[in-house]
Amino acid sequence: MRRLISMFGIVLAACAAMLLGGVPAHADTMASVSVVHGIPNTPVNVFVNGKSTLANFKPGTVAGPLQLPAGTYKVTIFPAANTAGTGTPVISASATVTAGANVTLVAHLSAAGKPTLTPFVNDTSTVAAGQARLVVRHTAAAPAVDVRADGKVAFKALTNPKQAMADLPAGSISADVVLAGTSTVAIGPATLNLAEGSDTIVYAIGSASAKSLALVVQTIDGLGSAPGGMPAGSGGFASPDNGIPTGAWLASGIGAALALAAGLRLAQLRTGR
Amino acid sequence: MAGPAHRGRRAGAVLVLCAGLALAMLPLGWLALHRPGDRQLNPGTAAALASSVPSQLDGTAQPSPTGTGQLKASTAPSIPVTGPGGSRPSQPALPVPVRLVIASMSVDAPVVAEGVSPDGQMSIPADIDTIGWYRWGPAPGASTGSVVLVGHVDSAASGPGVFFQLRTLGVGAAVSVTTADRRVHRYRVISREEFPKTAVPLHQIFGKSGLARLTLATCGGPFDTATRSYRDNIVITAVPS
Repeated sequence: MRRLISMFGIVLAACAAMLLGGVPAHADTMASVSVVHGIPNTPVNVFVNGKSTLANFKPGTVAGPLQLPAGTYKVTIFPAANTAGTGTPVISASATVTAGANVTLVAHLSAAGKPTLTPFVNDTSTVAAGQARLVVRHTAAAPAVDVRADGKVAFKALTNPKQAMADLPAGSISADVVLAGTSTVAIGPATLNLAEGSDTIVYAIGSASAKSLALVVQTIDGLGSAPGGMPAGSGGFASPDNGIPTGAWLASGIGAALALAAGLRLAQLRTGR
Repeated sequence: MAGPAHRGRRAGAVLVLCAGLALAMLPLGWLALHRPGDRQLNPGTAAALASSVPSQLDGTAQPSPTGTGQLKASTAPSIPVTGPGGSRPSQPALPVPVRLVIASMSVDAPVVAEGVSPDGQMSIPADIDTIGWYRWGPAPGASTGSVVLVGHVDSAASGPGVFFQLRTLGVGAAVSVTTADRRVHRYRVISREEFPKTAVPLHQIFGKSGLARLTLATCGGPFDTATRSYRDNIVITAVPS
């Protein structure tokens, strides 16, 4: 009976895992979708194909990832007070996600300050051992910017809604955003912990004119790879070839000499009879 | 007609001949006793560990398909929301390993954090008596994955290194790693494997998933004097004891 109960539990857990998307049932037909809220001061309800998907979604937060079948989705976003999802939405857009893709849908302001939805495809290719990926996305109502890492310009003249990407040595960096070609700081500095083997995606959100510029950070883990080898010896002292002890060779030489001498003596005894 | 003296001399010469031949064969015998196949113990065990899913009791680092917090969310998929700022929930880093003791090998050596060389290989401490810990992998005490410690078998300049005897470490041997918080993590050796460097299962050795384990590695096998490198890697796998 106890075994039956525990088996039932395992089946239930497996079903729950499938339902929750923890185990993609058809990895080949599914897409991984995250949502970023980059419009300041506006909690919203997100409807996907008319169905409430994210209720009271707060600005500056990241939701997901969610495993969704590949396809085209109608995304409508209403103020949080509108729970019915009727009337005029803040944003209405359609997003196509392809099988196997990792996509982030960003609700943000255009350069001109109009709410909009931009899908970004995340590069989930592996990162070399010891490295981390940094992606910066300009999704703020602001002019072109430069992104600086530890005081040096890393990405130049980024405009809304473009992105820039680099693989860097893992570790902490201090990042800030300046107006392109100047040292006028618009956002930051912020400390970013670029974890090895992960993708850190930084969104510049908000509005320059409303002085609501801020950063949102999304991370994708599990992109790491192993080092290419373990070079831990250059002497040859442990080699089984070179490692035949000198004593063994010495004994071998003496033995050969003895055998030769004994052989000669035997021959001599035979002929000298 | 051969007298007894003659026969005695003859027997003596035959004896010396045999003994001499036996001595001459000594290097062959030494090689026979050190065949690569004999250098492995429980090969394949580590691969099984690497692909095992840790028990739910072992910790919370792995995604838990039975997370009760999410089960309550009924049929609607529960979408984890992070933020504000969307920042990663900070996980306190585990204390780093600082010392390795293998009593049966008379090893008691300092451990330092190492990363990746420009050539993409793991960097190894220059000092042949210091062991390198792969800092981008798990630290002792992590609930999953392989803690990797690599030491020199030798160097051309300095002779035998801290892991010179690793190729003889037996199954069951006790290994302990001390972390910066002075905690001692005890392990027991379960396998010794030897891989040509072109076929080392690096993803398994440096794996962050699978059962918690300790991997000790160095070089071994035949030595190429032209490239001044060994053909193989010796890999010891140990589990918490």
